[in-house]
Amino acid sequence: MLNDAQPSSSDRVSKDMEAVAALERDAELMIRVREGDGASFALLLERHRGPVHHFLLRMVQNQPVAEELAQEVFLRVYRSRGTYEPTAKFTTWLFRIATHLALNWIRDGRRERGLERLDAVLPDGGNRQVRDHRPSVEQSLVREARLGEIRQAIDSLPAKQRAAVLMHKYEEMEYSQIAATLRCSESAVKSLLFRAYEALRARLAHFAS
Amino acid sequence: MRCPSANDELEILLDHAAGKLNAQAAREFTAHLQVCGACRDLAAAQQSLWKALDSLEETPISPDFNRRLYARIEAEENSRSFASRWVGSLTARWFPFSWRPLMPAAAVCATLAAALFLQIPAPRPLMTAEEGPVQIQAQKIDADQVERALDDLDMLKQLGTPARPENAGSM
Repeated sequence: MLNDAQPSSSDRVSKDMEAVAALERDAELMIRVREGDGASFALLLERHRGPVHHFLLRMVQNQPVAEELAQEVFLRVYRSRGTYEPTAKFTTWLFRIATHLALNWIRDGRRERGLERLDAVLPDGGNRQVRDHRPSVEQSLVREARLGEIRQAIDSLPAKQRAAVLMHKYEEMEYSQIAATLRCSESAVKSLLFRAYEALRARLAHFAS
Repeated sequence: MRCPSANDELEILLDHAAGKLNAQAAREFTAHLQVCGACRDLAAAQQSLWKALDSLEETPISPDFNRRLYARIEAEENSRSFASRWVGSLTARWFPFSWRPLMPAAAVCATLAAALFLQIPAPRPLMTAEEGPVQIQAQKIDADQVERALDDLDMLKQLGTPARPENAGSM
């Protein structure tokens, strides 16, 4: 059934104001990092490492690689601290670095190597945990199979379409910000998204039934 | 409103599924969906996809992510400072004093060297057309004289008599 419940206008305004305040805080923090404040870098790391990691994980579909790339993102942020200028949104810059690293990794064709197995040992020595919300094993397997299909569908997208979808869907970026991150026009972003979602709808059409 | 699917204006469809439409746009689009089957099917498919994408949970980041990152940062900082210390120790060994005061002196030396270089006359040719045969002959005579002088010296040595340079040319 169609969901007609859209947020109220006051909800949207307050959400927008929160987003603007967060962006300004990011820029302020990064300026402090430029001035040598390590605590500000730690705050930025805590705030953004999750989204960056998840974005990279969905891009490369490989947990150890995603973590390695995420580390590289923040390493580059730290290296560039001396020359940082708040000319663009901090998240735009951050995801531009992440997208660049992910696209390079995909282009270099390393995705064939080392697809992580479900029983692989994580860097902290633990095992990968498969979250199970259902009481029965069968339902759990069905759920995991479904998630696997979704991941494969995303993985089947061309790299730039994939990046645009992930930023639009999971980072809730506006078209203009996605365009700035991918260094293309807004119309190009919309074209990427329309084609990507069309491909995903076709591939996952059986989920609706 | 214009039909989004007929006019290829699918942005409103995406915004609707994402819950980003403002109140007025949402009302207009909902009303359109009541009369347009194509948009209704498309909107339903997009919302179904949106929910499927929502269900995608990802592995959380490792607990030691920050520790490893800071270790890499520290390693980079240390190697950078080691490199600068290494270069510093090399220059200190070869230039145990500061080289800055030497700059004016180095400039003066360079100027003098350039001036001297410019004053060195061009090397004289070994012979000219006029001098050639005479010079060669003179050299030839001198060589014969020297050779004879050396033979005399050897002979005198064998005889045990100290050599007299003034007698070398008489034989």
